[in-house]
Amino acid sequence: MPLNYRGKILFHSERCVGCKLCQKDCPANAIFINKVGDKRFEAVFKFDHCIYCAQCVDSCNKDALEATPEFELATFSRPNLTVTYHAPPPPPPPAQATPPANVPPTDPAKSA
Amino acid sequence: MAQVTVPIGPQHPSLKEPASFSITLEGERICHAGMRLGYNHRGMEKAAESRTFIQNIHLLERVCGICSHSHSTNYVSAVEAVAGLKIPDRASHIRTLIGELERLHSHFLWLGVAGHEIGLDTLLMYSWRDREPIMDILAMLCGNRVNYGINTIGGVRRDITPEQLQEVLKVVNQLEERTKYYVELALTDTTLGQRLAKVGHLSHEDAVRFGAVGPTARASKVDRDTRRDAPYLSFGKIEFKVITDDHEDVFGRTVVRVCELIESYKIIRQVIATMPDGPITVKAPRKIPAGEATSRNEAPRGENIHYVRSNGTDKPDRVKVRASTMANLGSVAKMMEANYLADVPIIIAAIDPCFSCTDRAVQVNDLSRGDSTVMSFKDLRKYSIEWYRREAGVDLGALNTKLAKRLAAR
Amino acid sequence: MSTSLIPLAYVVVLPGFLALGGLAIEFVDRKLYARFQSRTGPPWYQPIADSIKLLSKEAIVPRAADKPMFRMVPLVALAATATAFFYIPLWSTHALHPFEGDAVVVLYLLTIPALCFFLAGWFSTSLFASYGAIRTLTSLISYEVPLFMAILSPMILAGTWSLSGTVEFYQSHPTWPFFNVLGFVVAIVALLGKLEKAPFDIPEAETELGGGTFVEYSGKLLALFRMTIDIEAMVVATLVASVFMPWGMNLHPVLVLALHAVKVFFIVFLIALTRTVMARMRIEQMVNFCYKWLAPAAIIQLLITILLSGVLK
Repeated sequence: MPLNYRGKILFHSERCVGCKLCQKDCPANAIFINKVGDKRFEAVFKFDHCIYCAQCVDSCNKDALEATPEFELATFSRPNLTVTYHAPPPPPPPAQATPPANVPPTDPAKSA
Repeated sequence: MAQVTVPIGPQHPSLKEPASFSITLEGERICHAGMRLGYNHRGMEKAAESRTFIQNIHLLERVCGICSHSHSTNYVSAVEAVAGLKIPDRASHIRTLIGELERLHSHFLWLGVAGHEIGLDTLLMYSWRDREPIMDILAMLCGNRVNYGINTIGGVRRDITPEQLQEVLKVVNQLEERTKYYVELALTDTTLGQRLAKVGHLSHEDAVRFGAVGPTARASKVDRDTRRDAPYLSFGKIEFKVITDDHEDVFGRTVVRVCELIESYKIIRQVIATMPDGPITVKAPRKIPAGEATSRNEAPRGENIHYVRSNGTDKPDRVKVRASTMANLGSVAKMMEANYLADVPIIIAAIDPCFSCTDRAVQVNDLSRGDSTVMSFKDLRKYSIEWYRREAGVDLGALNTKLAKRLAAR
Repeated sequence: MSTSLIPLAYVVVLPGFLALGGLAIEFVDRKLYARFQSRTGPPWYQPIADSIKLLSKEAIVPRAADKPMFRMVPLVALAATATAFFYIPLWSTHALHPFEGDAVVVLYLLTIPALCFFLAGWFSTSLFASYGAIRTLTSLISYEVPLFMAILSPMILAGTWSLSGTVEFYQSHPTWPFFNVLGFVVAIVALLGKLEKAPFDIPEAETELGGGTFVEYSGKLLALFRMTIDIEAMVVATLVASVFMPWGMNLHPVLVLALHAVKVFFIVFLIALTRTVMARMRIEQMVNFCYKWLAPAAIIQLLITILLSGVLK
């Protein structure tokens, strides 16, 4: 298998900015970008519609899409070919500024 | 002797693609050949109008599987001419290289098909085995064995490393040895010569009159080759010979194609030796300014013409494709005269038919009526419903309204 | 007891041996053809798998065809070919039922399959089938004459019209078969016509007629026709081997059978080689070739044997 073979497309969700150029340029309408949160996007691929031309890979300015050499995609049931690449997990909330309330203040008379 | 009409096609083991030839025979001699096309019409020109220019690159690449790169290059060149873009030299060289590799694989494919049509399956197996290294290097360079997808508006999508160029040279050297064997085979084999010589005769005047292009015309001493007459891509800077032959029959077409293989090896070597460095693409706008352009190039089968008209949006206004087989098909009926039924497959195969390329929309001028009818989509739909009601007793008009109602209800 | 078992053994064992031999010949031919073309080729069980598959499919009879004749023609072809085998010496110089003149009977029985192929195409009433049928007859009249003359010339030297008698004669004159080399070449070329192999596979030209005479046949009827062609290959190869290469026929039967396998393999090798390197001829080219080159060569062979039979006896 040559290394540059255009097989299944891989989506790196952390680099996607949601410009949807890939969706506009796809000749087969096989990719859909959905926003699921603040700056977080998921990609829904219809691999039964995809023609594996890798135009989406070239249209993306952020290198969020990559063509892998994987070609054994045959399956027994058509819905299996609609693959969702999920968005990255939301970032954890920032740390609290005040200390927790249930720690008793230290008694300077007791220590020493 | 009574005349019998034999239908060759649309389904026939000798045809690779559907087309209907009705051959009228007296015994085994052909007295008349009629032709009907349109079995491969997919509405590509109409589909191109509702897709953006970038989406259309991939649509038009799939007009044909064997000459796909020439269709893609032609379309992209026409769009670049409308937009006023000049592609970098490296991109032009890469496009030329892939185009010549495509010519190689198409001629090897033709050799095999010709061998199969005359019953020499060994030639089929040998030439298709030799075609495999070409497909492998095309997969290495472009990412796919057919429908290469290397073009984009403004240049090419992938760069080629020097190691890949060395691989290409290795394969070309290996294939040149094999091609010398095929040249010797074509010239000296007895049964091959018996089946190919004096078959499908097309005189020089007829070739010019019917507008034949490509190896079909060059075998009748018509000295036309778009690479030399209207140089495109990097062909202005490359030295090569245009092969013509004066046999005027299928044997001549075989000789022309096999010798063109050897010329292609020379062209590929020159392209690789003079490959310039530099960028592989220029930035192309998404909305192409209004204008129209025609672009022609030499596909493996002959001259291929594309016309693109834009109206300032990101979708083209009109795309027209005139593939080379469309020009060659007119001469097939003439070639079949005074031949035997056994020669029909090889005569059809000798023009290297690609009916997928051919079936586009054509306006036919009926000279006897002095005008031509153009039907719009609505007229065509009404005509077809009437025809089926009259001929087959099927009322598609009612079916259509039912379908429309169901779709609206969903 | 033993004398009454032998004919029973012949009736029960021989047809199976014939069918297996036919399948083996088809396998060897296809495998050699593939190897010459740098392909892998089918595995050893391919011909029997094809037959089993065909037997399990429905046999569709066209509406306009003559149904009883359509069904009967493959059986007649198979019966005639199998019957011809009884008169060809296989494991000894003595065939099953030899008699004076059995060579002529064998040759006539071997013409019946070709006529049945014609009738198959004729009764199919389809356009392509009729063309294939007419071509079968045309090629029949081209290769039959040289084939008959080539097969019969060694017998003129032997002085008998019986195949078994011919083989018996050549056991005592082991160098005399070399006078028949020209006849051997003519017989191999005419065999290509009889077995419908390239360059003479015009009746079943797939790319021109899409199946020729057998285009309407399917299922078990087609299986019978394919079996006929395989068995015909076995019968004709055995015939040519026993007439032109009759060495070692009075040894132990098992050795004779082994030698017979080697001779048949040699003939099949020649056929596969010719099939690989030659393109299909047009029908008028075949008639031209057979009457301009093959028939005169057969006549020359006849003259050689007639002269020699006078000189050497």
